[in-house]
Amino acid sequence: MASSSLLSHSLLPLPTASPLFPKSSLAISSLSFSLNQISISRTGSVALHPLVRRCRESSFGIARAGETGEEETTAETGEDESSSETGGEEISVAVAVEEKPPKKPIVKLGDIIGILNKKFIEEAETIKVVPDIRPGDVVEIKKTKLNRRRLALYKGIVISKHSGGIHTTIRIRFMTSGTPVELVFPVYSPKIKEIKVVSHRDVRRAKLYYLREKLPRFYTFKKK
Amino acid sequence: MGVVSIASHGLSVAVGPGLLQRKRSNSMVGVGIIAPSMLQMGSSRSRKGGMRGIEVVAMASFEAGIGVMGTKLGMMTYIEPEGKVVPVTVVGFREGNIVTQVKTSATDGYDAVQVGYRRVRDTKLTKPELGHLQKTGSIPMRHLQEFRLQSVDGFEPGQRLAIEEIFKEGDLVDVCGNSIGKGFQGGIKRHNFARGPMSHGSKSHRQLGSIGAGTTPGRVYKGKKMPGRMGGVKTKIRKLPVVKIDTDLRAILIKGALPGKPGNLLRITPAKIVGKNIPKN
Repeated sequence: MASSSLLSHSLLPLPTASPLFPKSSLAISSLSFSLNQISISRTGSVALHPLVRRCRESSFGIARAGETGEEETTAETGEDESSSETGGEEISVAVAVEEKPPKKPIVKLGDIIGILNKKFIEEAETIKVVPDIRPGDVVEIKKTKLNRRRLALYKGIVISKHSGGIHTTIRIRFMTSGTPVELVFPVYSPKIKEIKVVSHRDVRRAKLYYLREKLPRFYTFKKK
Repeated sequence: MGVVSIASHGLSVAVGPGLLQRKRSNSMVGVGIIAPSMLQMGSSRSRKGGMRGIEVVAMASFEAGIGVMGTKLGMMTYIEPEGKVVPVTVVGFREGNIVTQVKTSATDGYDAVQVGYRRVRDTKLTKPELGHLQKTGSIPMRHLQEFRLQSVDGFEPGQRLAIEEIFKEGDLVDVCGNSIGKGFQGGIKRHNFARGPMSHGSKSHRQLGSIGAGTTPGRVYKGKKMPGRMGGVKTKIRKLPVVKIDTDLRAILIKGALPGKPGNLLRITPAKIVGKNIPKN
């Protein structure tokens, strides 16, 4: 995603020539991924991404002299890379990591919107349970109306589901008083008190807009 | 006695008889007697008040309160507890928002707080920039912006500005940022001009139409709206409510759209509302 590539610059400070991390002789063979700071030299001293380097030094102790086999180091660097990149664990600058309490993982700016969406969905789930809805489900929805005590009831077939985090919406098509109606409901809205999947119709599409040209009996449902 | 042209401003003064006139050059060659009135040449440029005792005219207007700098992250939806659906922009904060300098009328001629934003590597800044930041022992930061205030008590260099203390949910804010550049655009997009008819024999669809009257005035007025570069300039959106502040993620949700694309630098200040908090000069 363009935004995440823009914002992938980590919030962690990156020292250039820190006295704590001299270019020690780490015998690491050529690495598959490319980072700006890597310079691969024949003697084996490699300037790694500080995050990766710290992870190595803290977890595996002192750097190895050039005696370990190539396969071992590649395997370990592979592990390191995956653990440091996917785990996103911040290792403190000091070499003695075990003494400090575990820090919170850094949140990349590009992930914040995803995390916020998850947070809001979790909050909405505590109010009401949202079932798994697919196009083709026949669904009953109870919704509060403004200045009305009684809940409005809608029963129709789901013709599309738009996944948008907290603003996930479903489109219901049904027939009222001889008029076909399509309504859009934000699934996680607190105005919607209950969603119940009544039955399911086998469909081979994600969006059932073809029902608009079909006979009304395909989207007419009796409310009990 | 004559006076030779003072080249920096291109002023040339009448020369007395019998003297050779020197050609205007770009070097500051002032030979001859310069009348005292010539010294006050500059327009109101902000300079250190202490240097020559010239009265400083600060160009920025007052802010209603200290602000912060942030990064636009993107837009999403926020559903309020009552059920109202609100479009919001998420603003994130990188490491920064540290006071780097406090300017006072005694030392600089005006009161302002200079704030830095976005930590970068040492090598990315020039030595003068680094030296300025090292004066207060702060981290190397890319962006420096000033917030001109009525009073700068309570701000010290090195102070970290906490967003939760400055802004609360429901506050109105003004947001400044560089808008998206649209390139060279015509009158319709740039100035909301109306199109000509598309058919019925019309030959003018998206043109400007008339650009002036006739023989009088016989010219086109300055400022006539014409095609040109659109966007990519500093834009301020006023009176936007802060919907939510998330302290764990260090993010603010502001209702509405903000200038620029995700990743853009934003300057967020308390809204200046007439009758409420616009400071009097």
